[in-house]
Amino acid sequence: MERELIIEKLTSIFHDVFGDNSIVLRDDMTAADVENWDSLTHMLMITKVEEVFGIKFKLKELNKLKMVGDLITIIESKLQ
Amino acid sequence: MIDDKKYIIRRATINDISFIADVILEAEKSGTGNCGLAKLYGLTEIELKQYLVNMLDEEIDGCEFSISSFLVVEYDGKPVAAGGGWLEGDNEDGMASSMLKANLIAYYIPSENIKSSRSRLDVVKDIQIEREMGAFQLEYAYVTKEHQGHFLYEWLVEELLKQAIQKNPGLKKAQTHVFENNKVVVLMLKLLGFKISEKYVSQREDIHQYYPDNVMLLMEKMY
Repeated sequence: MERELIIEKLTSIFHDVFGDNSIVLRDDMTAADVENWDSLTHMLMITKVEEVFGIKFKLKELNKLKMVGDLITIIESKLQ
Repeated sequence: MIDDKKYIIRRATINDISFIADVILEAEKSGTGNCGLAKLYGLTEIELKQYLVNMLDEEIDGCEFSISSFLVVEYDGKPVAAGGGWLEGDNEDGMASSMLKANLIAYYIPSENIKSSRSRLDVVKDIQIEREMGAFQLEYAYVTKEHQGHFLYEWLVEELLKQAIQKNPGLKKAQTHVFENNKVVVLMLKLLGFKISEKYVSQREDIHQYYPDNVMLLMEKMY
């Protein structure tokens, strides 16, 4: 899947889970940049990403996620 | 007759995982029948215990579900009490413990249960307290019924704090979160030098269906 398409789908997930349609994803975006991105919504976001993209993260991968760019890269590598 | 001289305290090991899972369940209930974690995700306590065992078995350091966070009190070779604590942010990637815990839950608890929790998250939000980076966090302590009254809770907390200071001589603060209705623990923590810093109150009327109380206290001890 093209990186642009991943970002498009991920943006839609972020809008839904964090309840803000104005979110524009950036590679360096972190939880601190998104209102409502806390540990509870983080779980929902991860679950939704796995469902939408049909993937399953390893625990090690989840614990390395620091920025949105990391998330996009992992999704991209899993879809190749 | 219990002989107090027979108690020993030690670090938890992977052999204690089942007992630590029980400690987490009992501490979650805070002396009531409401296990917040199980109710939030629509799990039975038996199901939750199995997931907790799996999470503890991962040996991820630096959060509530880290076997390395716990001290165990033994009596006659059997674990009878345990308590957990860690320095917030002191893990491989400097992550917040809440995110490490969230990742463990997202990884182990079935996605259907996580999705179904969405409508209940508002119940938790008002009493969810962010942990301060660099502060020592105490979480999940429990003494089995037959060993209560032997000052094991106090011993666990004092030992966790003593070891934390030995490891981090510059430590400035210890924090813990306690439901206000857990009056015995609040009193014990006050006697150990903790003070109530803030009160978090949930206005949701249905919170008692999920949690032991609608008021969560942030208690702190300064060094």
